[in-house]
Amino acid sequence: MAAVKELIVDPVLTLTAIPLLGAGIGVLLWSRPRTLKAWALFLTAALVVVAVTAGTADGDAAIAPLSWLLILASFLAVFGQDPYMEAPSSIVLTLLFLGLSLGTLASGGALGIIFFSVMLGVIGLAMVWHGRTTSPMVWGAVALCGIGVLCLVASLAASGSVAVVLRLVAFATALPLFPLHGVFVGALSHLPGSLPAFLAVALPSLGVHGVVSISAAVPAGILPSLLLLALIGALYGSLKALVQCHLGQMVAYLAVTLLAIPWWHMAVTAGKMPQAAGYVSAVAVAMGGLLLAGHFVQARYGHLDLDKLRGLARPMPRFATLFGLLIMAAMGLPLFGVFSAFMAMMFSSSTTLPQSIVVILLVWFMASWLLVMLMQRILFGQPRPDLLYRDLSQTEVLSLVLVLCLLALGGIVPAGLFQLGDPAALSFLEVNR
Amino acid sequence: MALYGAMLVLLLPLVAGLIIGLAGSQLREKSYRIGVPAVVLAFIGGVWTLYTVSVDGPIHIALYQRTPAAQNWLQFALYIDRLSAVMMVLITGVSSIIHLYSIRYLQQDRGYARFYALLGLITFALLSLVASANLFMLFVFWQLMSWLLYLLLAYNYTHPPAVNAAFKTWIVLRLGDVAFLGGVLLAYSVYGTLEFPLLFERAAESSATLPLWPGSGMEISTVTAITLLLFVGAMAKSAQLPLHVWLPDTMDTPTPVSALMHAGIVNAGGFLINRLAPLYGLTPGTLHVVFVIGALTAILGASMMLTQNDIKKMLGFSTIGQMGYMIMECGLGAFALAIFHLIAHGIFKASFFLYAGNVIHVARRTPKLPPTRNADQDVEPSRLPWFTGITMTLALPLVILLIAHGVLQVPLRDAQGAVILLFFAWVTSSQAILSLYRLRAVESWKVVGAMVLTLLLVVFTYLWAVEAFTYFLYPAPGEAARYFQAAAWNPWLFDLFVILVTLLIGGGWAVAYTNIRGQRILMSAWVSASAPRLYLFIWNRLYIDALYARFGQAIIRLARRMDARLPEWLP
Repeated sequence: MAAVKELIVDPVLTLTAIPLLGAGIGVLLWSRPRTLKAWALFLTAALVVVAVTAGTADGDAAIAPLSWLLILASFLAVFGQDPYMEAPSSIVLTLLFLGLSLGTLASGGALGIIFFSVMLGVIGLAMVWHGRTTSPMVWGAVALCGIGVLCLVASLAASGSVAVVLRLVAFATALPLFPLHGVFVGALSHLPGSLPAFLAVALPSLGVHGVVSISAAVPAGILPSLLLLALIGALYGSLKALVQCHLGQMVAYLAVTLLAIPWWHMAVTAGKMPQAAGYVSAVAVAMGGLLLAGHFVQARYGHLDLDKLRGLARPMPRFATLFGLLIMAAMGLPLFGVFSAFMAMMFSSSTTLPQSIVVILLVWFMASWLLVMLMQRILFGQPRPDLLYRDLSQTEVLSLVLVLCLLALGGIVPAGLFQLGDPAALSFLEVNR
Repeated sequence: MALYGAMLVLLLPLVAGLIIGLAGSQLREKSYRIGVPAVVLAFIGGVWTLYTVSVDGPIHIALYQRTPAAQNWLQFALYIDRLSAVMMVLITGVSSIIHLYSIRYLQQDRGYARFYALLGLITFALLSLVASANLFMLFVFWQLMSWLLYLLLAYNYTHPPAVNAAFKTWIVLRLGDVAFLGGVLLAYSVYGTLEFPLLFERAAESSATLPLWPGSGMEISTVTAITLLLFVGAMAKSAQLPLHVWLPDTMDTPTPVSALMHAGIVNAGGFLINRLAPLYGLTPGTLHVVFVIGALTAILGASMMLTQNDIKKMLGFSTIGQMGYMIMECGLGAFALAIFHLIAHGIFKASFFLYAGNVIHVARRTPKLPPTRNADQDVEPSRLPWFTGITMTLALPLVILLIAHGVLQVPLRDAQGAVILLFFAWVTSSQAILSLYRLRAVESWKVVGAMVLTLLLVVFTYLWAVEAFTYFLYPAPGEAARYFQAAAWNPWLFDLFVILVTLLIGGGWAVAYTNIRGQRILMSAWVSASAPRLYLFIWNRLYIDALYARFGQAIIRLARRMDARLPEWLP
């Protein structure tokens, strides 16, 4: 009885169980999207309170910021979800993935691995359910989900370096690393509603948490390979982004480009990547914000085809201002978290500057090029006369403003807040010992 | 009190920009009522700061500092010395004029409030840049300036040429930003600090080198590598070859933006080199590169200007040429001269741009052909002003040099800095005399008197201004001389260069003087035949724009080809 009571009041499990239960109840509200949205908002807002209490009580400072970030991201994704556009599936899946993500972060050890495996599996299923007819790429992404799950399950049975490498492969599907980035790209471009905006934050956060937790145990022999894959991935992502005509896919490939940098950082610092979590979180939030803005556009015009969208700045000035600021944040301009975190990461790795930094600077330049190009394609030019334009509603404005506040906050919070520098404090490592 | 005053100079445009930005939809055409007083007050504050700094010495204000020693790169502080204060007066002065000019210029424009908001913010970014106390803060505002300039250039965002020009500008400036970041990272990794005084001190003590390529055995001094990387950033902002391509295409932007850009933003490169003068003074190699880039830009920029038939584009290319001149001065170690040049150019170019609209407007209202030459007046050269011009511009300077060298025993061979100053004074005064000659070449002692007076006025004003500026900006004994020395060339190379340039300028003037009066100098056939080709080459902007466009298209083609060859299921 005492054990059951302990289980109920365990803040970690409470944090995990609430969204999972919420998703279960959400299924019952499937036919009433407005009620479902209100329910999900109430739930995620309540979770913020629980997370703060749990974080304080548990004292696990390393994972608390990531948990808060995930909860905030889920709140914003639900808040920004259009009630009539694929709302039930988007909201229920957001709650489900939130529960699984928090479970992965909070429980650690074998249980954490199981949570993460389930999450990858559900992402694969959701992609099959939602995106199988839209693009053949979905099948490639689903196959990579399967590889990720297999690696995680196998790592539970394996030990030593083999287990570490298997986990590294699985985490590379979440914190996208070429050639395993397909899960990330597929999730961000083929899942319904505002769910991609949440997954843009959740997947890299879980990935970096996992990678940092095993970074000390990564065999030195594979670091050069990681470096090479990071550089190839960064260039590949930027080239792929250049030819995309779908906003979601373009943002996804841009994220692949920018999120290759922490992998490079890990390789050149020989596994010491204390500043990477802050950078990943900032990039993830910026990309999530762009996807949320994309969702608002899709809710109005039914598509995210960049060749058909243009000239939104004049008829949608509020959208234009907020989108412009998000682009500014995403490409690493000052005042926002991506810049601060990027700088922290670069300066922390600059005791001996590696030659490969040239490629990273080139990637940074390419990202600026592509993001401004994206902004120009959507906002600038003459508006289409055949479209009835409608600017953002107050709710939508508020959700994007909150994303921007989060990014601005990232520019001024102490770097140590997101510092996952002490791997001993992290849970995945327990399995390795 | 001085601290608050200096802070106010920075904050007023920021606050005005933010208020207008946030309440723009309510303010609309009343936006100027916030923007104009703020920036005028900032100008007054700037003048007062200049006075305070000149009398009491530099002001240092610590704004933000990360406590862990490992993160000592993240520091925000203001350092306002005479150089910063002079720049602050220039920036707020030009910005005030532009704010005032725009009140009616942009009336009834849809983006009126947006324009004033951006103008306030970019003024703040410029002011913060010149007041930065370390390289990190300077880099922060360096980047913000690129972005705000992009937004200002894309002011007419429904007009494709304006958008394309803004994008081109962004790409070039971002390239400079990336190189700048490379320099900042390298400086921090080698010297462990980005604070200016400490950075200069450690760089002076260090003799670290870097391999140019792993395993090649070739090495480069670290300070040379850092200054070269930072110089690429300066090249992008100051439109130096081959990163000049953005500037001439930005004429679709509103005229006040052009004025701000040409009078304020392009000066950033010159300011950067001056701010880092102690660092540049350590590396003659970089200074020589700076000189070559500047000289090429000055010559080719001016040449490209001559082939333009659009008044604003002419002014744009003229700015490129002038910036090249300014950067060349930095490369010669004449840092204070570059600042003097920068201020003078800023003021006259801003007034040109603000007046260009009137000229175009008048030209549109009264269309006419170019004035025809009066054959009687042209064929017969006026001997008195011609002779005076030639004597004043060519013979007199040589006589002065010979007297100085032979009679007064001034060691000109060892004083390249003095020769450079005299050279610049000579070129400037001769240019003024040529202009006078073109305007009014009649047989008159009054014209001759005006020519002589012009020479004296220009030379003495020039020398006085340069001397005063050098003393004002670099008051430490021997500091300015040290920079000249660092930039000094091999003596025979310097002599050869001076002789070549003298011959070139003298020859050019001979051609110009005779051509103006309708005469022709006999040239061989191949020279005459190559002239149109050369004209075409320069008219096409040396094909550099086309080359970049092809490079961009090649990247897009590569990406498309890669995408097409990959299987569809592969993400």
